[in-house]
Amino acid sequence: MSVENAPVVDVDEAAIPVEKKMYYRFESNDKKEFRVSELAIQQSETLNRLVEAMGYTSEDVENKPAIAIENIDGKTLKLVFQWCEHHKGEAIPVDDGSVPKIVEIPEFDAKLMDIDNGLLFKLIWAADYLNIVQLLNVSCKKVANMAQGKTPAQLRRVYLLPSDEEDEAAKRAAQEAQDPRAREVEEEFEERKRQGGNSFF
Amino acid sequence: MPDLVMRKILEDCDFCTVLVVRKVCRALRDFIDNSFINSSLKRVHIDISIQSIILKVTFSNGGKKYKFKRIQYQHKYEDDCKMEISMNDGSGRTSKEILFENTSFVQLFCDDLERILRANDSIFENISVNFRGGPRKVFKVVVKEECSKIYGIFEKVFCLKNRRKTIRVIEYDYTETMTKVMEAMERSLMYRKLKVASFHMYPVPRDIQFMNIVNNIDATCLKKLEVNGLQDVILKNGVHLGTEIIEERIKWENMKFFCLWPFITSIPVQKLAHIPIVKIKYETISAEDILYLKEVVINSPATYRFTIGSKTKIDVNFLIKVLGPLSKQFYVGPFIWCFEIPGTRKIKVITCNQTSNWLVFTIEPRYKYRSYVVY
Repeated sequence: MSVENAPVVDVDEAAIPVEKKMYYRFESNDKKEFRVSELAIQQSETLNRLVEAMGYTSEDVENKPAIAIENIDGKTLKLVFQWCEHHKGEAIPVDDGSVPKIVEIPEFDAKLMDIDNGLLFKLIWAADYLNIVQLLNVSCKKVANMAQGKTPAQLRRVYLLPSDEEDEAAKRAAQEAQDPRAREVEEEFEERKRQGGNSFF
Repeated sequence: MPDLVMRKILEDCDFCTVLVVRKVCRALRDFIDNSFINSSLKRVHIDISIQSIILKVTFSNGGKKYKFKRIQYQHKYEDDCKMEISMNDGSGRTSKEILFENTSFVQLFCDDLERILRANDSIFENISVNFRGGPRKVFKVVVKEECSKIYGIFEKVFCLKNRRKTIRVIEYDYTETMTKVMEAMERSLMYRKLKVASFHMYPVPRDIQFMNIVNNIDATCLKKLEVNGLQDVILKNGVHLGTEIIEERIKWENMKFFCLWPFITSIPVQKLAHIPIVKIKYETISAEDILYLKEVVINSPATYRFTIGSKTKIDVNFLIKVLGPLSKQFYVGPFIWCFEIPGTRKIKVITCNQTSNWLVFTIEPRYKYRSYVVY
Protein backbone atom coordinates (compact mmCIF):
# COMPACT_ATOMS: atom_id res chain seq x y z
CA MET A 1 0.00 0.00 0.00
CA SER A 2 1.41 3.37 -0.99
CA VAL A 3 1.70 6.24 1.41
CA GLU A 4 -0.92 8.26 -0.46
CA ASN A 5 -3.52 5.50 0.00
CA ALA A 6 -2.95 5.08 3.77
CA PRO A 7 -6.06 5.75 5.89
CA VAL A 8 -6.10 9.09 7.67
CA VAL A 9 -6.73 8.88 11.40
CA ASP A 10 -7.75 11.94 13.31
CA VAL A 11 -5.71 12.38 16.47
CA ASP A 12 -7.18 14.06 19.49
CA GLU A 13 -4.23 16.23 20.56
CA ALA A 14 -5.70 16.80 23.99
CA ALA A 15 -5.53 13.05 24.64
CA ILE A 16 -1.71 12.97 24.29
CA PRO A 17 -0.11 13.46 27.71
CA VAL A 18 2.17 16.53 27.42
CA GLU A 19 4.75 16.79 30.14
CA LYS A 20 4.27 20.17 31.71
CA LYS A 21 7.44 22.18 32.30
CA MET A 22 7.94 22.99 35.93
CA TYR A 23 9.26 26.38 36.93
CA TYR A 24 10.64 26.74 40.45
CA ARG A 25 10.50 30.03 42.25
CA PHE A 26 13.58 31.39 44.05
CA GLU A 27 14.01 34.50 46.13
CA SER A 28 17.22 36.48 46.59
CA ASN A 29 18.29 38.08 49.88
CA ASP A 30 16.87 41.42 48.67
CA LYS A 31 13.45 39.78 48.09
CA LYS A 32 13.57 39.57 44.30
CA GLU A 33 11.78 36.56 42.87
CA PHE A 34 12.91 34.46 39.90
CA ARG A 35 11.21 31.64 38.00
CA VAL A 36 13.66 29.04 36.76
CA SER A 37 12.99 25.93 34.67
CA GLU A 38 13.66 22.48 36.06
CA LEU A 39 16.19 21.79 33.30
CA ALA A 40 18.13 24.99 34.01
CA ILE A 41 18.32 24.12 37.72
CA GLN A 42 20.20 20.92 36.83
CA GLN A 43 23.26 23.08 36.04
CA SER A 44 23.52 23.84 39.76
CA GLU A 45 24.34 20.80 41.85
CA THR A 46 23.30 22.55 45.07
CA LEU A 47 19.90 23.72 43.80
CA ASN A 48 19.23 20.44 42.00
CA ARG A 49 19.76 18.48 45.22
CA LEU A 50 17.65 20.98 47.13
CA VAL A 51 14.61 20.71 44.83
CA GLU A 52 14.96 16.94 44.67
CA ALA A 53 14.96 16.76 48.46
CA MET A 54 11.92 19.04 48.65
CA GLY A 55 9.97 16.88 46.19
CA TYR A 56 7.68 19.75 45.07
CA THR A 57 4.79 19.09 42.70
CA SER A 58 3.72 21.79 40.20
CA GLU A 59 0.97 22.85 42.64
CA ASP A 60 3.47 23.13 45.50
CA VAL A 61 5.70 25.33 43.35
CA GLU A 62 2.83 27.77 42.79
CA ASN A 63 1.28 27.66 46.25
CA LYS A 64 4.25 27.44 48.59
CA PRO A 65 6.54 30.40 49.21
CA ALA A 66 9.57 30.88 46.91
CA ILE A 67 12.77 29.07 47.91
CA ALA A 68 14.98 31.63 49.63
CA ILE A 69 18.69 31.92 48.71
CA GLU A 70 19.92 33.96 51.60
CA ASN A 71 23.50 34.61 50.54
CA ILE A 72 23.02 35.99 47.04
CA ASP A 73 21.51 39.32 45.96
CA GLY A 74 19.02 39.78 43.16
CA LYS A 75 21.44 41.33 40.66
CA THR A 76 23.83 38.38 40.93
CA LEU A 77 21.10 35.76 41.02
CA LYS A 78 19.60 37.21 37.84
CA LEU A 79 22.93 36.67 36.04
CA VAL A 80 23.24 33.16 37.45
CA PHE A 81 19.79 32.11 36.29
CA GLN A 82 20.25 33.79 32.90
CA TRP A 83 23.37 31.66 32.46
CA CYS A 84 21.58 28.49 33.64
CA GLU A 85 18.64 29.05 31.26
CA HIS A 86 20.98 29.61 28.31
CA HIS A 87 23.02 26.49 29.05
CA LYS A 88 20.18 24.23 30.19
CA GLY A 89 20.48 20.63 29.07
CA GLU A 90 24.23 20.89 28.47
CA ALA A 91 26.51 18.26 29.99
CA ILE A 92 28.28 19.25 33.20
CA PRO A 93 32.08 19.09 32.71
CA VAL A 94 34.18 16.82 34.91
CA ASP A 95 37.54 18.06 36.23
CA ASP A 96 40.27 15.68 35.04
CA GLY A 97 43.01 17.56 36.90
CA SER A 98 44.91 18.45 33.72
CA VAL A 99 46.90 21.68 33.57
CA PRO A 100 46.67 23.99 31.65
CA LYS A 101 42.91 23.70 31.44
CA ILE A 102 41.48 24.55 28.06
CA VAL A 103 38.42 26.69 28.79
CA GLU A 104 36.81 28.66 26.01
CA ILE A 105 34.44 31.48 26.91
CA PRO A 106 31.38 31.41 24.61
CA GLU A 107 30.07 34.68 23.22
CA PHE A 108 26.96 34.65 25.41
CA ASP A 109 29.04 34.11 28.55
CA ALA A 110 31.50 36.83 27.55
CA LYS A 111 28.61 39.30 27.16
CA LEU A 112 27.04 38.16 30.43
CA MET A 113 30.31 38.68 32.28
CA ASP A 114 30.93 42.09 30.75
CA ILE A 115 30.20 43.65 34.15
CA ASP A 116 32.09 45.54 36.82
CA ASN A 117 34.62 43.68 38.96
CA GLY A 118 32.49 43.73 42.09
CA LEU A 119 29.61 42.01 40.37
CA LEU A 120 31.94 39.57 38.63
CA PHE A 121 33.41 38.47 41.96
CA LYS A 122 29.89 38.10 43.37
CA LEU A 123 29.02 35.97 40.33
CA ILE A 124 32.06 33.73 40.95
CA TRP A 125 31.18 33.44 44.60
CA ALA A 126 27.58 32.51 43.69
CA ALA A 127 28.76 29.95 41.09
CA ASP A 128 30.94 28.37 43.76
CA TYR A 129 28.18 28.44 46.38
CA LEU A 130 25.56 26.97 44.04
CA ASN A 131 28.14 24.57 42.59
CA ILE A 132 27.65 25.52 38.92
CA VAL A 133 30.81 23.95 37.50
CA GLN A 134 30.88 25.43 34.02
CA LEU A 135 29.92 28.94 35.17
CA LEU A 136 32.73 28.75 37.72
CA ASN A 137 35.13 27.59 35.00
CA VAL A 138 34.35 30.44 32.61
CA SER A 139 34.24 33.11 35.29
CA CYS A 140 37.58 32.01 36.77
CA LYS A 141 39.04 31.99 33.27
CA LYS A 142 37.76 35.53 32.77
CA VAL A 143 39.56 36.69 35.96
CA ALA A 144 42.73 34.83 34.91
CA ASN A 145 42.59 36.53 31.49
CA MET A 146 42.21 39.89 33.21
CA ALA A 147 45.50 39.30 35.06
CA GLN A 148 47.41 38.32 31.92
CA GLY A 149 50.24 40.69 30.96
CA LYS A 150 49.68 43.12 33.85
CA THR A 151 52.25 44.42 36.31
CA PRO A 152 51.75 44.00 40.09
CA ALA A 153 50.82 47.71 40.35
CA GLN A 154 48.20 47.38 37.62
CA LEU A 155 46.80 44.26 39.30
CA ARG A 156 46.51 46.15 42.59
CA ARG A 157 44.45 48.81 40.80
CA VAL A 158 42.25 46.26 38.99
CA TYR A 159 41.51 44.12 42.03
CA LEU A 160 41.64 46.99 44.55
CA LEU A 161 44.32 45.29 46.62
CA PRO A 162 46.73 47.00 49.02
CA SER A 163 50.50 46.94 48.50
CA ASP A 164 52.72 45.41 51.19
CA GLU A 165 53.46 48.87 52.61
CA GLU A 166 49.79 49.87 52.72
CA ASP A 167 48.95 46.52 54.24
CA GLU A 168 51.54 46.97 56.97
CA ALA A 169 50.45 50.54 57.63
CA ALA A 170 46.83 49.41 57.97
CA LYS A 171 47.88 46.65 60.34
CA ARG A 172 49.92 49.08 62.42
CA ALA A 173 47.03 51.51 62.52
CA ALA A 174 44.67 48.78 63.64
CA GLN A 175 47.14 47.68 66.31
CA GLU A 176 47.62 51.22 67.54
CA ALA A 177 43.90 51.80 67.67
CA GLN A 178 43.64 48.76 69.91
CA ASP A 179 46.55 49.72 72.17
CA PRO A 180 46.90 53.49 72.85
CA ARG A 181 49.99 52.88 75.05
CA ALA A 182 51.86 51.47 72.02
CA ARG A 183 51.21 54.72 70.15
CA GLU A 184 52.52 56.75 73.08
CA VAL A 185 55.70 54.67 73.19
CA GLU A 186 56.15 55.11 69.44
CA GLU A 187 55.71 58.88 69.70
CA GLU A 188 58.16 59.06 72.60
CA PHE A 189 60.68 57.06 70.57
CA GLU A 190 60.29 59.38 67.56
CA GLU A 191 60.72 62.43 69.82
CA ARG A 192 63.94 61.04 71.30
CA LYS A 193 65.23 60.27 67.83
CA ARG A 194 64.59 63.84 66.76
CA GLN A 195 66.50 65.05 69.80
CA GLY A 196 69.55 63.11 68.63
CA GLY A 197 69.53 60.06 70.85
CA ASN A 198 70.42 56.81 69.13
CA SER A 199 68.94 54.42 71.58
CA PHE A 200 65.53 54.42 73.14
CA PHE A 201 66.93 53.39 76.51
CA MET B 1 37.25 34.52 47.82
CA PRO B 2 37.13 30.81 48.78
CA ASP B 3 40.46 28.93 48.53
CA LEU B 4 39.14 26.55 45.89
CA VAL B 5 38.15 29.44 43.64
CA MET B 6 41.49 31.20 44.17
CA ARG B 7 43.27 27.99 43.22
CA LYS B 8 41.13 27.61 40.13
CA ILE B 9 41.87 31.16 38.99
CA LEU B 10 45.61 30.71 39.54
CA GLU B 11 45.61 27.40 37.66
CA ASP B 12 43.99 29.19 34.74
CA CYS B 13 46.79 31.77 34.73
CA ASP B 14 50.05 30.93 32.99
CA PHE B 15 52.98 30.39 35.33
CA CYS B 16 54.59 33.80 34.66
CA THR B 17 51.33 35.51 35.59
CA VAL B 18 51.23 33.51 38.85
CA LEU B 19 54.69 34.88 39.67
CA VAL B 20 53.48 38.42 38.94
CA VAL B 21 50.33 37.88 41.05
CA ARG B 22 52.59 36.69 43.85
CA LYS B 23 54.17 40.13 43.98
CA VAL B 24 50.86 41.96 44.37
CA CYS B 25 50.41 41.67 48.13
CA ARG B 26 51.36 39.64 51.16
CA ALA B 27 48.07 37.74 51.30
CA LEU B 28 48.43 36.50 47.72
CA ARG B 29 52.09 35.66 48.27
CA ASP B 30 51.23 33.60 51.33
CA PHE B 31 48.39 31.89 49.51
CA ILE B 32 50.52 30.93 46.51
CA ASP B 33 53.43 29.77 48.68
CA ASN B 34 51.30 27.67 50.99
CA SER B 35 48.73 26.16 48.69
CA PHE B 36 49.16 23.48 46.10
CA ILE B 37 48.79 25.00 42.66
CA ASN B 38 49.25 22.91 39.57
CA SER B 39 50.98 24.82 36.83
CA SER B 40 51.89 24.19 33.22
CA LEU B 41 55.61 24.41 34.05
CA LYS B 42 57.22 21.16 32.93
CA ARG B 43 61.00 21.49 32.66
CA VAL B 44 63.65 23.58 34.39
CA HIS B 45 67.21 23.71 33.17
CA ILE B 46 69.88 25.64 35.08
CA ASP B 47 73.29 26.33 33.64
CA ILE B 48 75.74 27.83 36.15
CA SER B 49 78.99 29.39 34.96
CA ILE B 50 81.39 31.89 36.48
CA GLN B 51 79.96 34.98 34.85
CA SER B 52 76.34 34.07 34.28
CA ILE B 53 73.49 31.73 35.10
CA ILE B 54 71.03 30.59 32.48
CA LEU B 55 67.56 29.51 33.51
CA LYS B 56 65.43 27.82 30.89
CA VAL B 57 61.86 27.01 31.84
CA THR B 58 59.55 25.08 29.54
CA PHE B 59 55.78 25.16 29.74
CA SER B 60 53.23 22.78 28.38
CA ASN B 61 50.89 24.58 26.03
CA GLY B 62 48.15 21.97 26.12
CA GLY B 63 48.68 18.73 24.22
CA LYS B 64 52.22 18.05 23.07
CA LYS B 65 53.17 21.66 22.34
CA TYR B 66 55.72 23.38 24.55
CA LYS B 67 56.76 26.98 24.92
CA PHE B 68 59.87 28.13 26.70
CA LYS B 69 61.46 31.09 28.39
CA ARG B 70 65.23 31.51 28.64
CA ILE B 71 66.60 33.97 31.16
CA GLN B 72 70.28 34.74 31.36
CA TYR B 73 71.52 36.48 34.52
CA GLN B 74 74.85 38.08 33.74
CA HIS B 75 77.49 39.83 35.79
CA LYS B 76 78.10 43.30 34.37
CA TYR B 77 80.51 46.17 34.89
CA GLU B 78 80.38 47.74 38.40
CA ASP B 79 78.49 44.83 39.97
CA ASP B 80 75.37 45.31 37.91
CA CYS B 81 73.28 42.46 36.63
CA LYS B 82 71.93 42.20 33.12
CA MET B 83 68.94 39.98 32.57
CA GLU B 84 68.34 38.79 29.03
CA ILE B 85 64.96 37.20 28.52
CA SER B 86 64.00 35.38 25.36
CA MET B 87 60.70 33.62 24.87
CA ASN B 88 59.17 31.33 22.35
CA ASP B 89 55.45 30.91 22.74
CA GLY B 90 55.01 28.80 19.64
CA SER B 91 54.12 31.76 17.41
CA GLY B 92 57.56 33.36 17.41
CA ARG B 93 60.54 34.38 19.45
CA THR B 94 60.69 37.65 21.43
CA SER B 95 63.47 38.98 23.61
CA LYS B 96 64.21 41.83 25.99
CA GLU B 97 66.99 43.01 28.31
CA ILE B 98 66.79 44.54 31.77
CA LEU B 99 69.68 46.04 33.72
CA PHE B 100 69.64 45.89 37.52
CA GLU B 101 72.11 48.28 39.13
CA ASN B 102 74.15 47.12 42.10
CA THR B 103 72.45 43.76 42.14
CA SER B 104 74.18 40.43 42.37
CA PHE B 105 73.24 38.22 39.45
CA VAL B 106 73.46 35.18 41.74
CA GLN B 107 71.04 36.66 44.27
CA LEU B 108 68.59 37.70 41.56
CA PHE B 109 68.66 34.21 40.08
CA CYS B 110 68.30 32.52 43.48
CA ASP B 111 65.25 34.66 44.32
CA ASP B 112 63.62 33.76 41.00
CA LEU B 113 64.42 30.06 41.32
CA GLU B 114 63.04 29.92 44.83
CA ARG B 115 59.82 31.59 43.68
CA ILE B 116 59.46 29.21 40.75
CA LEU B 117 59.95 26.07 42.82
CA ARG B 118 57.82 27.25 45.71
CA ALA B 119 54.87 28.34 43.61
CA ASN B 120 54.57 25.07 41.73
CA ASP B 121 52.99 21.85 42.89
CA SER B 122 52.61 19.91 39.66
CA ILE B 123 55.09 17.22 38.64
CA PHE B 124 58.07 18.50 36.68
CA GLU B 125 59.09 16.31 33.77
CA ASN B 126 62.70 17.25 34.19
CA ILE B 127 64.99 19.41 36.31
CA SER B 128 68.63 19.59 35.33
CA VAL B 129 71.49 21.56 36.80
CA ASN B 130 74.69 21.95 34.83
CA PHE B 131 77.80 23.22 36.58
CA ARG B 132 80.31 24.72 34.18
CA GLY B 133 83.82 25.81 34.96
CA GLY B 134 85.68 22.66 35.92
CA PRO B 135 88.24 22.24 38.67
CA ARG B 136 90.20 25.40 38.00
CA LYS B 137 91.65 27.59 40.75
CA VAL B 138 91.26 31.06 39.18
CA PHE B 139 89.02 32.30 36.40
CA LYS B 140 89.53 35.54 34.49
CA VAL B 141 86.35 37.19 33.38
CA VAL B 142 86.06 40.26 31.16
CA VAL B 143 83.03 42.38 31.94
CA LYS B 144 81.83 45.14 29.65
CA GLU B 145 79.99 48.32 30.60
CA GLU B 146 76.58 48.69 29.03
CA CYS B 147 76.48 51.78 26.85
CA SER B 148 73.71 53.69 25.13
CA LYS B 149 72.85 53.00 21.49
CA ILE B 150 74.24 56.39 20.42
CA TYR B 151 77.56 55.59 22.10
CA GLY B 152 77.43 52.25 20.34
CA ILE B 153 77.19 54.01 16.92
CA PHE B 154 80.10 56.30 17.73
CA GLU B 155 82.06 53.33 18.94
CA LYS B 156 81.97 51.93 15.43
CA VAL B 157 82.60 55.28 13.67
CA PHE B 158 85.47 56.53 15.84
CA CYS B 159 86.72 53.14 16.99
CA LEU B 160 85.92 54.06 20.59
CA LYS B 161 86.31 51.25 23.04
CA ASN B 162 83.64 50.24 25.51
CA ARG B 163 84.78 50.27 29.09
CA ARG B 164 85.92 46.81 30.04
CA LYS B 165 87.58 45.36 33.07
CA THR B 166 88.93 41.98 33.91
CA ILE B 167 87.88 40.49 37.18
CA ARG B 168 89.47 37.50 38.81
CA VAL B 169 87.08 34.92 40.14
CA ILE B 170 88.73 32.45 42.45
CA GLU B 171 87.46 28.92 42.93
CA TYR B 172 85.99 29.91 46.30
CA ASP B 173 83.72 32.55 44.66
CA TYR B 174 82.47 30.05 42.11
CA THR B 175 81.83 27.47 44.83
CA GLU B 176 79.93 30.11 46.77
CA THR B 177 77.75 30.83 43.73
CA MET B 178 76.93 27.14 43.36
CA THR B 179 76.29 26.77 47.09
CA LYS B 180 73.86 29.71 47.00
CA VAL B 181 71.95 28.08 44.16
CA MET B 182 71.76 24.79 46.07
CA GLU B 183 70.59 26.66 49.19
CA ALA B 184 67.88 28.42 47.20
CA MET B 185 66.65 25.04 45.98
CA GLU B 186 66.74 23.66 49.53
CA ARG B 187 64.79 26.64 50.90
CA SER B 188 62.08 26.16 48.30
CA LEU B 189 61.69 22.54 49.44
CA MET B 190 61.20 23.41 53.10
CA TYR B 191 57.42 23.30 52.81
CA ARG B 192 56.82 20.57 50.27
CA LYS B 193 58.71 17.84 48.48
CA LEU B 194 59.95 18.39 44.97
CA LYS B 195 57.81 16.48 42.49
CA VAL B 196 59.98 15.64 39.54
CA ALA B 197 60.18 12.65 37.20
CA SER B 198 63.76 13.15 36.10
CA PHE B 199 66.43 14.96 38.13
CA HIS B 200 69.86 15.49 36.66
CA MET B 201 72.98 17.25 38.02
CA TYR B 202 76.35 17.28 36.30
CA PRO B 203 79.29 17.61 36.82
CA VAL B 204 78.90 18.27 40.53
CA PRO B 205 82.00 19.81 42.11
CA ARG B 206 83.46 18.32 45.27
CA ASP B 207 82.25 20.84 47.84
CA ILE B 208 78.67 21.07 46.68
CA GLN B 209 76.14 19.59 49.08
CA PHE B 210 73.23 18.22 47.11
CA MET B 211 71.95 15.37 49.30
CA ASN B 212 69.38 17.61 51.05
CA ILE B 213 67.80 18.18 47.66
CA VAL B 214 67.87 14.49 46.72
CA ASN B 215 66.36 13.59 50.10
CA ASN B 216 63.53 16.07 49.50
CA ILE B 217 62.45 14.74 46.12
CA ASP B 218 59.09 12.99 46.22
CA ALA B 219 60.12 9.32 45.87
CA THR B 220 56.81 8.28 44.30
CA CYS B 221 57.31 10.59 41.29
CA LEU B 222 61.01 10.09 40.72
CA LYS B 223 61.87 7.85 37.76
CA LYS B 224 65.36 9.00 36.91
CA LEU B 225 68.04 10.33 39.25
CA GLU B 226 71.39 11.11 37.75
CA VAL B 227 74.11 12.93 39.66
CA ASN B 228 77.53 12.86 38.06
CA GLY B 229 80.50 14.29 39.89
CA LEU B 230 83.80 15.61 38.64
CA GLN B 231 85.68 12.38 37.99
CA ASP B 232 89.27 13.42 38.63
CA VAL B 233 88.70 15.40 41.81
CA ILE B 234 86.49 12.81 43.38
CA LEU B 235 88.64 9.83 42.52
CA LYS B 236 91.58 11.47 44.25
CA ASN B 237 89.75 12.48 47.39
CA GLY B 238 87.03 9.87 47.61
CA VAL B 239 84.00 11.97 48.50
CA HIS B 240 81.57 10.10 50.74
CA LEU B 241 77.92 11.00 50.53
CA GLY B 242 75.76 11.00 53.62
CA THR B 243 73.02 8.66 52.39
CA GLU B 244 71.55 7.69 55.77
CA ILE B 245 68.15 9.24 54.99
CA ILE B 246 67.93 7.32 51.72
CA GLU B 247 68.92 4.10 53.48
CA GLU B 248 66.41 4.50 56.27
CA ARG B 249 63.36 6.22 54.82
CA ILE B 250 63.20 6.56 51.07
CA LYS B 251 61.61 3.93 48.84
CA TRP B 252 61.93 4.42 45.11
CA GLU B 253 59.19 2.24 43.72
CA ASN B 254 58.96 3.81 40.28
CA MET B 255 62.65 4.48 39.72
CA LYS B 256 63.96 3.32 36.34
CA PHE B 257 67.40 4.90 36.30
CA PHE B 258 69.69 5.60 39.24
CA CYS B 259 73.17 7.03 39.01
CA LEU B 260 75.24 8.54 41.82
CA TRP B 261 78.70 8.49 40.30
CA PRO B 262 81.55 8.51 41.30
CA PHE B 263 80.60 9.43 44.85
CA ILE B 264 81.06 6.78 47.50
CA THR B 265 77.85 5.73 49.18
CA SER B 266 76.63 3.09 51.57
CA ILE B 267 73.14 2.46 50.12
CA PRO B 268 72.59 -1.33 50.30
CA VAL B 269 72.45 -3.02 46.88
CA GLN B 270 69.23 -4.73 48.01
CA LYS B 271 67.54 -1.32 48.02
CA LEU B 272 68.50 -0.66 44.42
CA ALA B 273 68.34 -4.12 42.83
CA HIS B 274 64.79 -3.58 41.48
CA ILE B 275 65.89 -0.57 39.40
CA PRO B 276 66.65 -1.52 35.77
CA ILE B 277 69.69 0.75 35.34
CA VAL B 278 71.96 1.53 38.29
CA LYS B 279 75.42 3.04 38.59
CA ILE B 280 76.76 3.29 42.13
CA LYS B 281 80.06 3.19 43.96
CA TYR B 282 81.11 1.79 47.34
CA GLU B 283 84.21 1.77 49.48
CA THR B 284 84.56 -1.98 48.85
CA ILE B 285 82.40 -4.65 47.23
CA SER B 286 81.53 -7.64 49.37
CA ALA B 287 81.10 -11.27 48.23
CA GLU B 288 77.49 -11.18 49.54
CA ASP B 289 76.65 -8.19 47.32
CA ILE B 290 78.15 -9.90 44.26
CA LEU B 291 76.26 -13.15 44.86
CA TYR B 292 73.04 -11.23 45.59
CA LEU B 293 73.27 -9.28 42.34
CA LYS B 294 74.17 -12.43 40.40
CA GLU B 295 70.90 -13.99 41.58
CA VAL B 296 68.83 -10.85 41.07
CA VAL B 297 69.83 -10.59 37.40
CA ILE B 298 67.87 -13.76 36.55
CA ASN B 299 64.54 -12.24 37.59
CA SER B 300 65.24 -8.79 36.26
CA PRO B 301 63.76 -7.06 33.21
CA ALA B 302 65.43 -7.39 29.81
CA THR B 303 67.22 -4.05 29.96
CA TYR B 304 69.10 -4.62 33.18
CA ARG B 305 72.43 -2.99 33.86
CA PHE B 306 73.80 -2.73 37.39
CA THR B 307 77.19 -1.05 37.55
CA ILE B 308 78.87 -1.27 40.91
CA GLY B 309 82.13 0.54 41.53
CA SER B 310 84.69 0.19 44.27
CA LYS B 311 87.15 2.65 45.74
CA THR B 312 89.58 -0.12 46.62
CA LYS B 313 91.06 -2.18 43.83
CA ILE B 314 89.00 -5.17 42.72
CA ASP B 315 90.97 -8.39 43.01
CA VAL B 316 90.22 -10.84 40.18
CA ASN B 317 91.26 -13.83 42.30
CA PHE B 318 88.66 -12.81 44.86
CA LEU B 319 86.04 -12.66 42.10
CA ILE B 320 87.07 -16.10 40.80
CA LYS B 321 86.58 -17.45 44.31
CA VAL B 322 83.09 -15.93 44.46
CA LEU B 323 81.86 -16.40 40.89
CA GLY B 324 83.83 -19.42 39.72
CA PRO B 325 86.20 -19.69 36.76
CA LEU B 326 86.40 -16.94 34.19
CA SER B 327 84.44 -17.36 30.97
CA LYS B 328 86.68 -15.09 28.98
CA GLN B 329 89.67 -12.88 29.53
CA PHE B 330 90.46 -10.56 26.67
CA TYR B 331 94.06 -9.80 25.84
CA VAL B 332 93.47 -6.17 26.76
CA GLY B 333 90.19 -5.46 28.44
CA PRO B 334 87.71 -6.75 30.92
CA PHE B 335 87.28 -10.11 32.64
CA ILE B 336 83.98 -11.79 31.83
CA TRP B 337 81.75 -14.36 33.53
CA CYS B 338 78.77 -15.67 31.57
CA PHE B 339 75.89 -17.70 33.00
CA GLU B 340 73.05 -19.17 30.99
CA ILE B 341 69.54 -18.37 32.18
CA PRO B 342 67.61 -21.66 31.84
CA GLY B 343 64.55 -21.59 29.59
CA THR B 344 65.39 -18.25 27.97
CA ARG B 345 67.45 -17.01 25.07
CA LYS B 346 69.37 -14.69 27.39
CA ILE B 347 72.69 -14.89 29.15
CA LYS B 348 73.66 -13.02 32.28
CA VAL B 349 77.04 -11.43 31.96
CA ILE B 350 79.26 -10.09 34.71
CA THR B 351 82.05 -7.86 33.46
CA CYS B 352 84.92 -6.67 35.60
CA ASN B 353 86.91 -3.67 34.51
CA GLN B 354 89.95 -3.71 36.72
CA THR B 355 91.44 -0.42 35.57
CA SER B 356 88.27 1.53 36.36
CA ASN B 357 87.40 -0.67 39.35
CA TRP B 358 83.86 -1.56 38.50
CA LEU B 359 81.69 -4.60 37.97
CA VAL B 360 78.77 -4.61 35.56
CA PHE B 361 75.87 -7.07 35.83
CA THR B 362 73.89 -7.24 32.57
CA ILE B 363 71.64 -9.50 30.56
CA GLU B 364 72.71 -10.03 26.98
CA PRO B 365 71.26 -11.93 24.01
CA ARG B 366 72.42 -15.55 23.88
CA TYR B 367 74.04 -15.34 20.43
CA LYS B 368 76.60 -12.74 21.55
CA TYR B 369 78.07 -14.67 24.48
CA ARG B 370 77.10 -18.31 23.77
CA SER B 371 80.66 -19.45 23.16
CA TYR B 372 81.84 -18.04 26.52
CA VAL B 373 79.35 -19.85 28.76
CA VAL B 374 80.95 -22.23 31.21
CA TYR B 375 78.83 -25.39 31.59
